[in-house]
Amino acid sequence: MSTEQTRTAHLVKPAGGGIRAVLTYNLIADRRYIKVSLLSQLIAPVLYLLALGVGLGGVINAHGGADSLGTSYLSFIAPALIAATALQVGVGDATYPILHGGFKYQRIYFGIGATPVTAGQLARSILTWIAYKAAGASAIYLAVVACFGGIRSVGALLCLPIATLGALALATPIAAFSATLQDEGNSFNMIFRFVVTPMFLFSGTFYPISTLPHWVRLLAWLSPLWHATELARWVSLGPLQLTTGVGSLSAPMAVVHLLFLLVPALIGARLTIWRFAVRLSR
Amino acid sequence: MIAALGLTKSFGGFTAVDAVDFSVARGESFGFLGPNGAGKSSTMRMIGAVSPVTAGSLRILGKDPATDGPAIRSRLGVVPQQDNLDVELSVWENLYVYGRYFGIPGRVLRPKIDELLDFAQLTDRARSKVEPLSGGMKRRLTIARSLINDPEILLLDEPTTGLDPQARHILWDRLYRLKHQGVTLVLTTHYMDEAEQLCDRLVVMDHGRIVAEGSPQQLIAEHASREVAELRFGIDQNEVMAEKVADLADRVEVLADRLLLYVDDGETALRAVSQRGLQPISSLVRRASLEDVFLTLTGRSLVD
Repeated sequence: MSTEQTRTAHLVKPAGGGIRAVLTYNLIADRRYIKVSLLSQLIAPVLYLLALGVGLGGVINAHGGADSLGTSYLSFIAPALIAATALQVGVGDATYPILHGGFKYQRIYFGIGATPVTAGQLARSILTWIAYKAAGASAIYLAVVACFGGIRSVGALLCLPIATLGALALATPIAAFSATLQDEGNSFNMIFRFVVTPMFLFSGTFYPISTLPHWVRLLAWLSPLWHATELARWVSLGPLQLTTGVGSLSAPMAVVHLLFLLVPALIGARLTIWRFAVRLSR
Repeated sequence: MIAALGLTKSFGGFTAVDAVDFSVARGESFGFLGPNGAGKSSTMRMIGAVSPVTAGSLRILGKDPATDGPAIRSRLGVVPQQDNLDVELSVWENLYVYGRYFGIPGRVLRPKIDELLDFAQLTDRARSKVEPLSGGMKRRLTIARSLINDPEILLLDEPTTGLDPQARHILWDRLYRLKHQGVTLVLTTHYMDEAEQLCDRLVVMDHGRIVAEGSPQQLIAEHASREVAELRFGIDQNEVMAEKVADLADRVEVLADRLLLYVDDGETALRAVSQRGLQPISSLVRRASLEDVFLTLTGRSLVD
């Protein structure tokens, strides 16, 4: 490097660029998908709200649905759909990108592991990025819901942190799992088919789970999406104090739901950090 | 710069690196030569402060990797065996984000990246994605990336494996330049020519142990003869012929397809062979190499 003039050694931080540096990488890496993902994140809610909110909702409302719910069907499913979307985005980013791009094929995380950035910082950055993306998808969804006239209180804005937390409650344990997998096999397919999709169908998204048999309702307790949906409805419709009870939640129950999201999210995050450290230090 | 004493790495019951001692001085080019599975890469990952030491002691730049991992890594450059570039990012972006991991501010990175691209002969590909680049270009980009922090030690794990001869020579030329700038190079290789070209001093590793140490010339002088006469008698004949020529050489090595006679003067040995009425299908005389050193020390070839 006879031409070399720029010295960087004195500017290198012994502790490295940390989480911020990895987030910068995520931003640059995801920038090229932004058009496609923004477009799909705009189109999906339009389709869902048209089909289910306006179409199916029209039938339901006409048959007394709006009366028995105390609010339009669209405004009933909207908070749940926001939570479900965040969950899907979160789980998506906690699977293929981590195993394939990170550890297995491109091995990008091993490149990062050779720098001052620690495995813990790397794992935290990945989870933070997942949270950002889930929050972003929720925000777009909420904006579309607003366009459909589905927002009935300012409290609906609180759907964003709730949906994001709901996404993390499932995405962080799955991120830990992805960091542990040597081979994908069919694992990710199974997760989407037998975890994410049933969760979407049986977590009170489209109807109150009180209409389900007792044993299915017990299963809902295992679903972070149900807890997120209950909370999202509470903040969106609770302020209306509907006589039908839709959107009402006692304070202790709200805390219980919150704990059912916080605890798995935090445990999952610890597990992810641990699995990243193990995988990078071999 | 690096000091290892009784350095050991085990995975479960398997000992990949078995109590090795070595040290590397500033400005030196130090090599680990050995076949695949000899423990070279495991040693490199320990020096890179990513893989914890199982037993023994290791100091890199005077620090303990167990407690000062990030600080050590901030002063190292690492070229891994398998490229781990982000192939969907551009060449420039790969260098930029890597610089950020070291905490180097963006405004300094811009001129630095220009210089590194020039060094790696990739200036005209700066905006290209990494994916379509040739293996040699990716390798040069990985090396450029490893220099983003002006490392004091550059670790190269099998830097030219899988490259065609031309790409290897370009890469060697770049590494020479770094060496002349005083960068300490530590590399692993299973190519004897690479070790001879690049290393001031090297250790030969086999089954996790160091079996010899010295400069390439020293090792050849100690563990091989000056010249080697290679004789091919045909597949089934080599074993038989070995006995008939055994007394003509310091040592005779029987390989699957040929005999190696370790001698001081190859031409004289060949004449003596033909005077006995033995007619090899082909023969040649060459200088002894590190390949012969390895064969002598372990009874096996480096490249299988």
